[in-house]
Amino acid sequence: MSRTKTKRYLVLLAAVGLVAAALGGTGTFATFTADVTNSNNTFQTGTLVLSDTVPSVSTCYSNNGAGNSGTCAAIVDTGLVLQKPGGWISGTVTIKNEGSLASSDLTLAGSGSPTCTNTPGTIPGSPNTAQLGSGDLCSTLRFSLEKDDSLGSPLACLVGNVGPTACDKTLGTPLKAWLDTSVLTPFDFSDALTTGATRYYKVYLYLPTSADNTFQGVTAAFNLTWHIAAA
Amino acid sequence: MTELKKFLLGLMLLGAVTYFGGGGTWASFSAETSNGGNAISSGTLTMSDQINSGGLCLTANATSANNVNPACGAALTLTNVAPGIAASTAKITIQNTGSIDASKFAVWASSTNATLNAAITSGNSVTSLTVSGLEGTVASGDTIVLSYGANTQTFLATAVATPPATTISVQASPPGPATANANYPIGATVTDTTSDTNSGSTAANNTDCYDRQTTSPGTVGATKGTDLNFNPILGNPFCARALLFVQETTGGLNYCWYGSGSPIDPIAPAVGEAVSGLCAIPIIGVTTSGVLTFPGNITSIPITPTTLNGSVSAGDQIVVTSGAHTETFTAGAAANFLIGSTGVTSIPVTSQAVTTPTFPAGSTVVDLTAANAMNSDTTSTLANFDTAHHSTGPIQLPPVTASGTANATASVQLAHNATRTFLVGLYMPAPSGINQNFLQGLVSTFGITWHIDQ
Repeated sequence: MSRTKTKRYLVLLAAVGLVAAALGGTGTFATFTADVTNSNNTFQTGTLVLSDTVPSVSTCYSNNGAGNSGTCAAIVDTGLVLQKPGGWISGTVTIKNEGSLASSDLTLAGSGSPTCTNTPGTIPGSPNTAQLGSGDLCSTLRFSLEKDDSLGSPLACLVGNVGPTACDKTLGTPLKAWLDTSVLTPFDFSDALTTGATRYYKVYLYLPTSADNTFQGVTAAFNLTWHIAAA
Repeated sequence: MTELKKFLLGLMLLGAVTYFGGGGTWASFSAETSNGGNAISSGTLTMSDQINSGGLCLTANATSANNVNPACGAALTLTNVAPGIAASTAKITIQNTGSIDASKFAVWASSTNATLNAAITSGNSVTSLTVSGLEGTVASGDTIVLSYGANTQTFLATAVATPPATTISVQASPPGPATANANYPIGATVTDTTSDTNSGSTAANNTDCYDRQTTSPGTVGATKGTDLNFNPILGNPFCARALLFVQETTGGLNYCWYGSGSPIDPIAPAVGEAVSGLCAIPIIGVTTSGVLTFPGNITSIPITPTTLNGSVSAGDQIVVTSGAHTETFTAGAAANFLIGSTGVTSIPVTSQAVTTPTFPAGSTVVDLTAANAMNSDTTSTLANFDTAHHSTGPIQLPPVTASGTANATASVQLAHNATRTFLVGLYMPAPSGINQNFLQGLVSTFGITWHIDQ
């Protein structure tokens, strides 16, 4: 290397040294890096919605209510009147899993405390109501639950005279006792509902012939709650 | 004064002396040689990402031309999930496809990100970025970095942007009118570098994981998320509940890097997963393939091959159920759906007599320990992954030397040509007695980023 070139080289080194020294002898180093990203991973939940349809009333959905617990029309219309001891009334309901998830077993239970309320009425034209309207209708009524097909034909009696036949209303279970038990241990239909599955039920209430005048003009009020959970 | 400084000052002095001290010209004999053709070439540090047996996604040919590939495809796409259902896992294989060893290998939660969908010309005013594929929420004031090749430009978001927004309003950083400093073509990456700091239900929520109500039903004719009135998305509640696990399986060695059973989220007491290196992954839908013979002692529970879809660690409680009958056993060794090529055919258990002859083939099998751990876990959520382990809080991945053991001091974490495999999965917990209806009909979307450094 010529002397001139040597001088130039060393001056360059000096310049480099000067700059580096001014920087404190450090520098910034851009390293090699690489990144891959698995993007747009998705995790999607299904839905679990129950619908409840009684005749002459629009279908009621669980998501009509807060927390997916809807309040729907009565199955046994409070406008219906048990005419006399030995009489009975009934109501039908259609239950359907409207969600995208299959459910575990459908259950049914009463609710509230008390689970059934007797409200004494008055007898028009009667001067003496002491003996009337005080009977415990809730405990006396006989409750039967029947599973039907889509045309209303009986498939099995589930509460009452349990068996693969239509319910005999006279052999129903005392209403309040059944409701009280169901609060602690909901009635299990042993019937898981797949998505879209529909079930048809009929409720009977029968007033035994043993009911006396104290049962005149009494109203029994109670709730029935149908429940499904994701399987 | 550092050694380097001394050396450089010495050189400077030498140069000065030589320049000013030397002088004169000499006519003399001289000779020269030169060594030409010297060359130096740099190595490469690139990586590939393979999901299950799919094609390779490479950093080398990313559309942003900066060795960052933000769109390697979703590893997990799960629909119509209910609580207590273990989501299927995905196998991710990461390879260092470069020529340089990586001293650092990490995984972290992606930042809120998108891809530029309308080119920006150098010198033009920029008031918004037209984007596609926005993943995550941008909060007003967040730092937005636009990158392409060697060019980057930093902006500040001036408004909230939530998916599926296609525009991010921006200004310069520091605040002021912004002018593009280079050309940024379609495909440039858009990253919210200050995201993943707020998972709360506020306007400042800016996590990469975000929730939306589903707009199509999980099954035909069923209700969907937008049909419901009890599943709000404020605060991304599903991201805050869904659990993520990242289980390494390289070379048959297991290490739980994130999830129940990881060092970040250990299961108490610290047995089982801490030794096996397995994340707690509940087994779901597993059934026995044979009768549990009564009254003989049981040393293994035969299960239907390939149905094991989780992991069992030694000491876990294994509950077998048939109708109203249950029997609880203790797992004698680890078992997971990684072992063997034909699937696991039995779960070894500590010898125990069966108390009733009522466990036919088809009895259900549950790892109660893993299920309880995950159902009560509130740590390894997607939201926590975002806020605790984004790019400034990465999960380093030193090499696994034995199941449950990693060498944190290794100087190379992913050698050139080396591969490491992971199982990534999701689980929606089913905590006892807690109504989770508010999570119906929601879909969470999130990303996972793998990173290597030279």
